[in-house]
Amino acid sequence: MNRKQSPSQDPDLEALRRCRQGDRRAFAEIVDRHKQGVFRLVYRWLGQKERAEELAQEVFLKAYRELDRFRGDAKFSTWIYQIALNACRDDWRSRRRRPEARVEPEFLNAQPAPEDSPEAGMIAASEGEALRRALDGLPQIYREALLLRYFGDLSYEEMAERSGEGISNLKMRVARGLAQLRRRLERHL
Amino acid sequence: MTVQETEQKLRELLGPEFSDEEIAALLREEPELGEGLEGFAARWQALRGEIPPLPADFTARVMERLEAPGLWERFRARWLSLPRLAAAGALAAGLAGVLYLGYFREPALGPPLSVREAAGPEGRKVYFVRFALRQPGAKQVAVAGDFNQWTLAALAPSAEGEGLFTVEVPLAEGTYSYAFVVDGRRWIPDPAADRWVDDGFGQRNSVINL
Repeated sequence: MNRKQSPSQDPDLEALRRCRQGDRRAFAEIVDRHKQGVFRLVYRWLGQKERAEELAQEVFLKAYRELDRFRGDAKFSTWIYQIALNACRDDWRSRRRRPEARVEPEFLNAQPAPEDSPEAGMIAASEGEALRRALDGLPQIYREALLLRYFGDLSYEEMAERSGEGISNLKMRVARGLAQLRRRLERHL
Repeated sequence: MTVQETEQKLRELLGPEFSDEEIAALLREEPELGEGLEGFAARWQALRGEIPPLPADFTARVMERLEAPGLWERFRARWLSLPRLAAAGALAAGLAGVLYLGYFREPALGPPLSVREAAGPEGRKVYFVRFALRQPGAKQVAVAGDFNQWTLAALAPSAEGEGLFTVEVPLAEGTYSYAFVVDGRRWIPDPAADRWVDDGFGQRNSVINL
């Protein structure tokens, strides 16, 4: 159900057209339009503000370098979210290979519940790690559905608009993805 | 939790777009979704967390990085000038010379490896291999290899020459990796070996084939 839009219908396509003609300011418009969504997704995955800012910048730089590969079959936002998802997973995997460089997410370390103790913080951080590991191990269709829904804060309608998939299909992927995630967590926690 | 509470909690987790029928069907299909839902929802929420604000100059910083010269441009501007290329060429030639002397010429710098063949028990051959290393100034030299499970077998100072250490080791037919250990800490390959293999730690082991 992918559908191409004309540049006049889609401000991203219009900006991309200008961008390809050498107008770099057009790319700044694209960054402005998508920076919150990309940063939200990256921050929720990484949990560290500075690293998330840096990675979000890298997502846009990569998108710029690979603009020629964007054919307009999907929405630009879908394409850049895909770049962001891949960047998050690459970053997380490389930090897992270098455990000494790993820093636990700020918001997980800051969790006071159930008791505000160092042990509670460590438990929360290890749960965060287990959640990421469980998410990373899910089949791609479920992982992406969960990340877009919960980390990207997209409604099912927005997900459908961006991916070209039907709403009921996406709802089922989210529900089944959550069920699989819970099964994986129960094995690891 | 009651069934109604579970359904309500699941709808909060999945979204208001899910109808009563869809929620009920899901719980029938995936009953474990409803078990311990409250705890899972809290953990899931904790992972999502609050989003801090993006710095106001985020776009400007992306554009700045975009307009900064790329790696290749920086490399070209900095290093690809004629004097630097000439210096790099001279350095490369020097390095190649050092590598040649250190790697390929090494066999000529040590005494030859000698092997004496003898009849062993049950008609098997035994090879007496004389390991030798010239290391003027060394206090101890040992040989370690897969033939002695990489323990150290000491070489004795030889009367044949200053700084020459030797030992004769009986070995069965086969292919062995080994290296010398000088003063208990410095591992070096045998310059007299016919071939060498990577030891997996950035050094080489010598190989003898009997």
